[in-house]
Amino acid sequence: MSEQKRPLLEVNGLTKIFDVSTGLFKKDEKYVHAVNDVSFYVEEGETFGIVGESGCGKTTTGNLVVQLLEKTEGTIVFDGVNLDELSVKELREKRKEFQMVFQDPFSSLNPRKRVFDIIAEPLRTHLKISKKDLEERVFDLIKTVGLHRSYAYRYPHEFSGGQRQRIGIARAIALRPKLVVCDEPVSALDVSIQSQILNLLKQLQEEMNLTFIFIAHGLPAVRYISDRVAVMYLGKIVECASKEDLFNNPKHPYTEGLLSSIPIPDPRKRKLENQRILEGDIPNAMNLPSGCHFHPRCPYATELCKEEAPAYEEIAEGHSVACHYPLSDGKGLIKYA
Amino acid sequence: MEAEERVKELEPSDFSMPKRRTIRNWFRLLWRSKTGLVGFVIVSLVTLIAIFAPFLAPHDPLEIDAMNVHQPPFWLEGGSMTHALGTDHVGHDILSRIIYGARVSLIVGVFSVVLAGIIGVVVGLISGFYGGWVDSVLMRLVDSFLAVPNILFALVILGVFGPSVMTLIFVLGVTNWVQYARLVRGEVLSIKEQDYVRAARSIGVKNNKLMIQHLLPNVISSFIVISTLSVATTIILEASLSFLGLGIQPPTISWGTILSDGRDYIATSWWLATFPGIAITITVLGIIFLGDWLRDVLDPRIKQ
Repeated sequence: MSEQKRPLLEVNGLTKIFDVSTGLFKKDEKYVHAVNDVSFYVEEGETFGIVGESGCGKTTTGNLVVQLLEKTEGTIVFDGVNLDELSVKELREKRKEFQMVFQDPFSSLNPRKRVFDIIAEPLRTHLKISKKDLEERVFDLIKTVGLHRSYAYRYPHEFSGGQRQRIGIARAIALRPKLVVCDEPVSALDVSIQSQILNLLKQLQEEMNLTFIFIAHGLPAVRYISDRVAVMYLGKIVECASKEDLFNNPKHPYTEGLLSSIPIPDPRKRKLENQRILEGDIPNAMNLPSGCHFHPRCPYATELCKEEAPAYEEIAEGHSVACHYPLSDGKGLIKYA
Repeated sequence: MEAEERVKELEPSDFSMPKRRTIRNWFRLLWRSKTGLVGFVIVSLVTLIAIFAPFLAPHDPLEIDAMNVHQPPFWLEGGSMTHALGTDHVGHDILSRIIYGARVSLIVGVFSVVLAGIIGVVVGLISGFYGGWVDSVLMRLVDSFLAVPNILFALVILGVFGPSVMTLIFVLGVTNWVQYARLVRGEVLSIKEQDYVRAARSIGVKNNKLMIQHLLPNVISSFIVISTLSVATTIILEASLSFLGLGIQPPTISWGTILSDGRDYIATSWWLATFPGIAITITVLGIIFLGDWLRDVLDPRIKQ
């Protein structure tokens, strides 16, 4: 271990703008700021959760990190290497260190390939190993993710969603990557299967010292698996803190709203006066509100919020927020964690 | 029964190693499918007839029997078993001509479709996969091919190089690749957005491997369907080129030439055009059946 502990992944000012102009000669210029000046870091061995509503840019962020999309601006430093500075060939080589688990287990496996070939693909791509070694490693992986080795020669359509997601996870960890980006890995699954997959991920993390970026819109899953959590709204991180801090002591009104949207099973514990149900819809990303993007839906918004965007600052140790009026400790809120 | 089977299937003790597709295995699959079997029988029969034409044909196809012109098939009045399917206006034996004609028709039909298919699939894959200006350039090329009438294009090429079986295959191949290119491009556009393609990309799979291993196997079904259908149109197109005098030149015989020869006498000697037409229909049906079966066998999702 080096003395100076540097994070495994450092993202600075990451921005992705999609050009959605229409018309033959682009008369109608339109841009979507899918990801807007996002900065975060991920420590080795931790799980970094990203939550937000649909369309807030969390999946785009994940795709940018694993280089499936080209960013518009910003830097991504992975394991001390700025990914911009790599050549195409070097980047291809580097890819084995960060892998992705996809959301939809039905479209993420090639229907014409056997499970064996799906899991073997990363190994074949990056390593020159004998057929025997390859078989051994693939069967090992199949066992690791909790499937029986007889499944190796079946096709994806013969499996359930949970089993398919296990195959996807096996593919992602095949090369023993340092970072795995899980893009809503459980949101397409039944609730009963979700916990199995989450446990599998946790177990793998321990065994292989993996680092996860866990993208989700379901707060319970994020709370279960993450060490630190970032909340995104309209392409920006509005709040980022450790799991305990974020769930017990949210500073941003949006986080507060999200938290109070978690259903509480026991009706006696529900306190209506404590609930801050968010009103209104997420604004159009092509036509962003002025000032703080959240102000049209924020119950605490003032004139200042309409005019000036708040800076994203660290207001307490390891707790950053982008709000002019961060909530003070324990301000009228249900306890969760 | 089905439920029982499924339980058995899921039993972990059932450790089946990869089923290698041996020739025996293929035949077993073929045996199980009725259409596949019918298609296979027809296609192999026609192929064998084409290969062994000299032994099967009762007459030399070029032999002229001047005494028996416009003789009807044997079951009609005036017909005889010497010319089982009748004779044409100069006394050629129709049956022998159809048997010999199978050679050129099959060769031209199959090889020009293969040629068109290869060009079309390659162009379609590249165009759909890379997108951007590559796509624009290739698709404008496709458009310009569509704008030129096939017959006109064929006339020019055949006029320059002179008609022969090789040039005919070339011409038909080069005029027909466009439909495959468009089809494959469309399929690729939707498939490349699938997560498994993005997964392969995030693994670092190289583009050409990605196209061959992930895209090609998933576009092949629609390709097989279209290409087997177009074997038929190709045989007909060859006939119309022959009719214009630019296709197969006598004394070479194809079903197309027999058909177009017979067209002039359709009112009086219907058998001249009918029998080669039936030969084309049966062959094409066989190829379509075989193609259908092949598509199903290649798709793991369809239970065999």
